Amino acid sequence: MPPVDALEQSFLAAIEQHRGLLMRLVHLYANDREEQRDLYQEVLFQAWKSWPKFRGESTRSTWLYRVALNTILTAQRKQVTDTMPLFPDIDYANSVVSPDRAEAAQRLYRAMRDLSEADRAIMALHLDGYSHPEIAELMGIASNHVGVKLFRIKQQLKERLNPSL
Amino acid sequence: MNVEEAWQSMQDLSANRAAQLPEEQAIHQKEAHNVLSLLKTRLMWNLIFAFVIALLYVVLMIVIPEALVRAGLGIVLGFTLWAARTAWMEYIRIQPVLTPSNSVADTLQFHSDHLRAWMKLQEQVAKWVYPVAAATGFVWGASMGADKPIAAVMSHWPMQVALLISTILLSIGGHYLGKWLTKKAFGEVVQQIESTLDSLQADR
Repeated sequence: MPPVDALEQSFLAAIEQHRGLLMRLVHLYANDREEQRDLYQEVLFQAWKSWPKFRGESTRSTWLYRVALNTILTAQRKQVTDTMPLFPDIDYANSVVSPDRAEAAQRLYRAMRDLSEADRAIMALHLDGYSHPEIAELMGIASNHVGVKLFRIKQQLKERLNPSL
Repeated sequence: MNVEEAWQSMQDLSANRAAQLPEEQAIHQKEAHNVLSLLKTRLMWNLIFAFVIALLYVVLMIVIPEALVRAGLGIVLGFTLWAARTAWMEYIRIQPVLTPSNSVADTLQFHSDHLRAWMKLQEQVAKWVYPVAAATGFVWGASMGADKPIAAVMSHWPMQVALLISTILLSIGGHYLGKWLTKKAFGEVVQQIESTLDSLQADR
């Protein structure tokens, strides 16, 4: 096993590379700023504790995705009262995202928050390019079941967004 | 609206937000704060409480010469030790650090099983320990209040009826109290986890 410093450096490098992916998942489930911070911290903690066991059988992003989903979906969270804005205080002057794209992100975020927790995870995996067998393996369901679920989830999203998916 | 673009924008915005959080550098100093670590803490409190109560029962069994009270305390002590053993077995089985190779469904099931086991234990304790303890306390209290031996106090039928009624009422009360306490502690998260598991199995 590499020394702790090297482990920590490799871990922090992986987190820096994938923090957007992790935080986006957190945003899909957390109900306020405090919960976002707590969930993100717990995801990092769980990933850090298991980091020495990472053997490279999957990509880092897939491994982190699995840790994040397992952590978030089993966390004790607040009951949803209303979906808060995704990013209420974007500094567009220093952001890589234009106001139009931020608005589109906000609409997608709201539509996905209306899905069930399991459906949110499946759709997130699909949007990140995972195949049906990969989603099935990560979620622990049958591969043909993923296709059925995605068909229904996309219909639900279409009703909310009305774009061509 | 292009969904893929919107999804990428969500990631870019999220990366900015995450970068503002200070947690990453000090991650090795943190502890788990998930449901299983909370459950483990509760089990440890169960064990400490059981140890103190068991000691108290032993002292009372030595101090109180009445055979009936000693028998009642002996039964309650037995249940307390059984509950403590079950809590200990559960305590050592629970690992708050998740297994990263497990699927989401496996992880949810693992959490649900442990939470249900804890809730069942609390309900069993409430169902079996509280009524015996209450009946023993009632008999002992009556004996002390009347300053007579238990056999003499309990030979009157109103006392026997009062014992029966109070035991039944306390058994029912204990049962619902146990259910309420476990629901208050983990009811919402169990519901959330099991609802996600059900949702995963839906549309088959």
